[in-house]
Amino acid sequence: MTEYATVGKGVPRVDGPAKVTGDAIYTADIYLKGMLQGKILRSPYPHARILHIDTARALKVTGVRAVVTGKDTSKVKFAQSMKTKVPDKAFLALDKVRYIGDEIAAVAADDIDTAEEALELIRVEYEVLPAVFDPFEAMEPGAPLIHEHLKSNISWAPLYQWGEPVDELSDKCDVILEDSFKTHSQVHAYMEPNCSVATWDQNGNVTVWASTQGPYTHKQELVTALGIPGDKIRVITPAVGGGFGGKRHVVEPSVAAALLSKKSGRPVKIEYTREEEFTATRHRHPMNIQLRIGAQKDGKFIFFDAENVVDNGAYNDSGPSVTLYAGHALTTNYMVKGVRYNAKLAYTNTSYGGSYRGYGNLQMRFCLESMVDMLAEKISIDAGELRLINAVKENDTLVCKSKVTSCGLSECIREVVRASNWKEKKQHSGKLRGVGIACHEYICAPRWHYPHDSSSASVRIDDDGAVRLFTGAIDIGQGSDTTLCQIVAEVLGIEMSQVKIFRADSEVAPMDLGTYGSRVTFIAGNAAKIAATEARNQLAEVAAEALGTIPENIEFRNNRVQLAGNPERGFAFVEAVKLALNKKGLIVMGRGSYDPPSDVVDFMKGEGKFNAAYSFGSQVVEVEVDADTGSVRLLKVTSAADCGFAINPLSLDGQCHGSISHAQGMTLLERPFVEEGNILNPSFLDYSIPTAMEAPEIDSILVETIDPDGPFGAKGVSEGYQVPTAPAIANAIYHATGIRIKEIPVNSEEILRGLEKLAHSKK
Amino acid sequence: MKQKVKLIVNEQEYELFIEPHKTLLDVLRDDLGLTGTKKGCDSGQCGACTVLVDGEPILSCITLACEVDGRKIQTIEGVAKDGELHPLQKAFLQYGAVQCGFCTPGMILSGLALLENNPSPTIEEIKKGISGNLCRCTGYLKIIEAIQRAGK
Amino acid sequence: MSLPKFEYLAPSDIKEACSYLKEFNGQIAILAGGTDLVMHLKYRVESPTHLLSLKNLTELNSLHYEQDSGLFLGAMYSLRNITLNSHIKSEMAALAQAAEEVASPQIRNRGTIGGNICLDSRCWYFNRSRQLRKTLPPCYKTGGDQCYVVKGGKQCYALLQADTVPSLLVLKAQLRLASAEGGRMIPIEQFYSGQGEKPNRLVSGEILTEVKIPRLPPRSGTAYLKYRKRRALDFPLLGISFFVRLDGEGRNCREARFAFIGHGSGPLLVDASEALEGLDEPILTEEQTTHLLEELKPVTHMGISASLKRRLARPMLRRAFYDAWRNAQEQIAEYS
Repeated sequence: MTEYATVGKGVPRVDGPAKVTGDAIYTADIYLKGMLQGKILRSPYPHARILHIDTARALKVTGVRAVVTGKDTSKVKFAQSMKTKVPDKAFLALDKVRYIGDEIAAVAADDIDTAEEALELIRVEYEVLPAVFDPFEAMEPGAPLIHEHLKSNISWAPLYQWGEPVDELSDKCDVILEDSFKTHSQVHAYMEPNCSVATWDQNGNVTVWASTQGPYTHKQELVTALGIPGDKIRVITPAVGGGFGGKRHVVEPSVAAALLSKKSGRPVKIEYTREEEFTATRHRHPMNIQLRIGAQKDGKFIFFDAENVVDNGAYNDSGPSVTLYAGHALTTNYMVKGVRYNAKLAYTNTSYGGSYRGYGNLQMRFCLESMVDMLAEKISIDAGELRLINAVKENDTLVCKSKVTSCGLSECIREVVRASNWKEKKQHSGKLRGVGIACHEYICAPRWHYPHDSSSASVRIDDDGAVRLFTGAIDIGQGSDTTLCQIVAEVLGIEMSQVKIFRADSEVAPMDLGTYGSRVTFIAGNAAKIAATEARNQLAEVAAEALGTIPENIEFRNNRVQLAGNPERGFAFVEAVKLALNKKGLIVMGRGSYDPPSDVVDFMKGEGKFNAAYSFGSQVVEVEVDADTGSVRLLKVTSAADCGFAINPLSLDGQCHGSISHAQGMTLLERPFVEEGNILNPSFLDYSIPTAMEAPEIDSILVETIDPDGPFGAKGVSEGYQVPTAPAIANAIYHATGIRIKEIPVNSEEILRGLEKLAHSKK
Repeated sequence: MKQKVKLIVNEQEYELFIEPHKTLLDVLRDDLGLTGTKKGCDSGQCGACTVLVDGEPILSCITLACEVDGRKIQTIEGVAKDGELHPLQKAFLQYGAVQCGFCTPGMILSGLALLENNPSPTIEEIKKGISGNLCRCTGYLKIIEAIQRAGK
Repeated sequence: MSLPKFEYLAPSDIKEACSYLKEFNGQIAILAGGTDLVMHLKYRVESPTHLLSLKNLTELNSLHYEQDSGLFLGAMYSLRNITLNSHIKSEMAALAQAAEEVASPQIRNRGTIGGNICLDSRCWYFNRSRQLRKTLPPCYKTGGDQCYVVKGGKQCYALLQADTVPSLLVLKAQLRLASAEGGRMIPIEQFYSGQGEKPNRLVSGEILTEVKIPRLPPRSGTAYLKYRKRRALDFPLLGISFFVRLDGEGRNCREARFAFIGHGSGPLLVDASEALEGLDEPILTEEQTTHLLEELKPVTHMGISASLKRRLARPMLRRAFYDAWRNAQEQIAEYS
């Protein structure tokens, strides 16, 4: 194993000191002179045509400075850039509203009281339309049509067939199992609500501060919304208080703030309330999955055949790619001869789905990993063993025509089996305690939306010795700032404290597509590494000349630029920098651009290697079921993840814990209750994310497989941590009680009824 | 009618003339420029707005500023002293307890109050002490570790 | 979210407070810890023109114990202080346990016993912002004529979910209410209306000033159990307090009563003395359990079904009885 100075170490977060003192600036902490408060008017109806909007009374209120509606936008609808989708969302409603919460207009006023008062005075004339809330009902002929540009409410209906035709494989199977599973929605519930601040100069340039996961795509969306060229728009992302996918495409507050600011001539801040977060942002797509698994009695999987009905909600957002990925997930962690995936993505008049860590893969794996356990029982093979028999390995070619590069899946499974005492606990777990296992693959850096998947970086070394890294990558709490600084410090052989990072300002930082798909470490990391290496090479040349040798003999270590093998001959780092300036007139600057080895995703066939790498992992969980109340308590999770190389193990463990917490919530506690499109529990009190009291014990094991393409062998891993927990819990509940859970979140009453039934059948 | 209110925030006295319907959170952030205390839900449910009043953690988003007239208030800006981080802040950094950082100010203040009353808390006691502070990034374990290690 | 504007009054004695209540009758709200009221104001379910702050009524933030009469708690005594008080912890376990289970440390620091007793009933259709409430016609609790919890229901089904109430009921607490006209003292069981619109019988112009808990008879014990999804923050989806008194030898049950909260618009207090008289161990049969729970009629509400609450009530009743019995035995051991 290579010994590194900085990467591979659990160094503290570079943005940590500002965060523990309250110095870190989040978008809501920005106060500009003369700034107004803005608020968005939202539809109270799940489905209605807008006949007329009268803003006159609102404008008359003292302190109201501007009111905007759809007419003030470019009137262009937008969508994620994807071939199969037609833009379907207006930034502010143009013709119809399609869910309770849909944006209609916005007001800016001197203070929030006045803005709220004015909002009530905007008169909207609606023609209320019949609405549909269930995806199956939405697909019935005669259901109310939600988007008139389509003939039905089916946004997309892919049918993918990979490998050998599934219908011809039945004969090869000794056992075929079939079952249905359902997942409900989940809300990101990041702690920082969405916030945007916008201000214009007198030459038509707008600056927007926004809590977003992707300032570059945010800017593209503003170009579409405002109808002005991109070089007139500057998007800056301050510290972000969590995203988990939810802050990828919430552009409405920025659009509203920018329009209000333009009209009023003053800066405008729009801060979402927590209720708006629960009702009018994005959430996880609910799925209804039917899965058939065919296998041989020796444990070899032969085919997977799935049908999926996905509840899109009112608009597309990430619906198509989430739907695709749910199917793709069937091809990527087990070797199988054929896969068929038949999905329907249906619009409904409800809050709509977006990106959420797990992205369809998670919902499908709840289903797949539960059925793998059911199969294990049926053919009497240990659940861990069955997974090992079928796990993909390094250099495997998948039926979807993708290739696995680095792969530690088998090792992850073996590690959790060992570290959790799986075999022993499977035998004796005690009354109503159980263990369950599941594993996963997760994509690293998928090329979903654009022809490129790039990131760029530049490194500038000033004669004060500080190394300044400019990157478009966004740290939303996952620690990318720190990881990138570690990479630069490692390449240049310097201390972390010498590296400063500048990011997320579209005027200053180079382009990056954003934080999603576990891509930042891999892509931005490589870009930063290339940039640092170019800077390093410039210094190496200068030093080599001064020392009368060739650059290949120069090493960067312990803050020095010196002759390898003869360290007294050399320079302190800052001396070498000054030498470059004084001897050569050179300010050392390195640039790097990285576009990973992946193809653009083929939405028609769902085939190809449209990602840079795959991460893998496995978890064993231990649960305790209370026979009196039906409550399920998550006691312990043993997790192993193939991260390629752990640039910051401390950070990875933190990601592991956090993702598992989300998964725990999704499986056992969290559910938005929706009635006729109305979310009834839009608060932290009534929507139960785990508190510290719920935290289980977690043992996080990192497996390193050294990816051939990742920086120092690292690849993205954190999203994957959220994936195997739900099926592992379901499998553990089965072990503890004999009750098979097919719908999450788990319902206590279902457990109690199941226990009663089992008690009866025993008598 | 505006009320005359004296707030002693981080050992500095402020004499303010404020509308009684203003919450302590809004006064701290909007009027005093102390934006370290965060507005996570504005509903008294997430704990991000936690400040200490006479050493006790309370939720500033559901406390009227008038109600703490004359009381000593400590926000996150008042934890480090003379440029030196408090051991609890150092522990948060060292043990990976900070990710997005939005819950961090509230967590640190709850942790501070806990350690003041109970310098060597058990893990269960720490969990209880921060049970009113929600975190969506860390899964709590490293926060619990940091508080434990900062104790005696 | 902003609050509505109001005039802020912070009197220093109760008489002054009562005169304000009379003067601004119908338009004045009482601010104790504010953990319930402030959210009502933000949600605009109340928009009083005047707010009466109790912060300067230091006499209400008090606790004293009289050997013969019992414990006197000022209405502003905080929930946290209740959990720390050694007398309450040892003599009235159910009250300390209930206070301990409320919400979070921050809420317990500001929340008061008076505020918990006077807690308004709750419902998903009610406890939400004005913007969201406007998506539906008003319900009974907001002055309308329908209920969304029980479709076609003829009454409001908002739930009373105050943790300390069942404990105070089984402890036979009495409430002192003051007003400009004088005052009254009522047993807490008479304080609750069972009606979702207005769950307690605090009359306009009245203020709760004190809670009296009589000295417990010897060889008695109490316990409080709370069912909720998480182990913090949540109100009781179902809560139960149990009181039991044993005979001279500490072997047989002589007196028993329990109270539920969280299932309906009011608490349910049940005198179980006759049913459990003479019992020599804290074990209930299935038949006894069914019989004792006859009057518990929960509705499906806020994500929990009525059938689940009925199921949960059974083990909760058994466990609470057991815990109260053990508590009684501990009391006996302590004093012998």
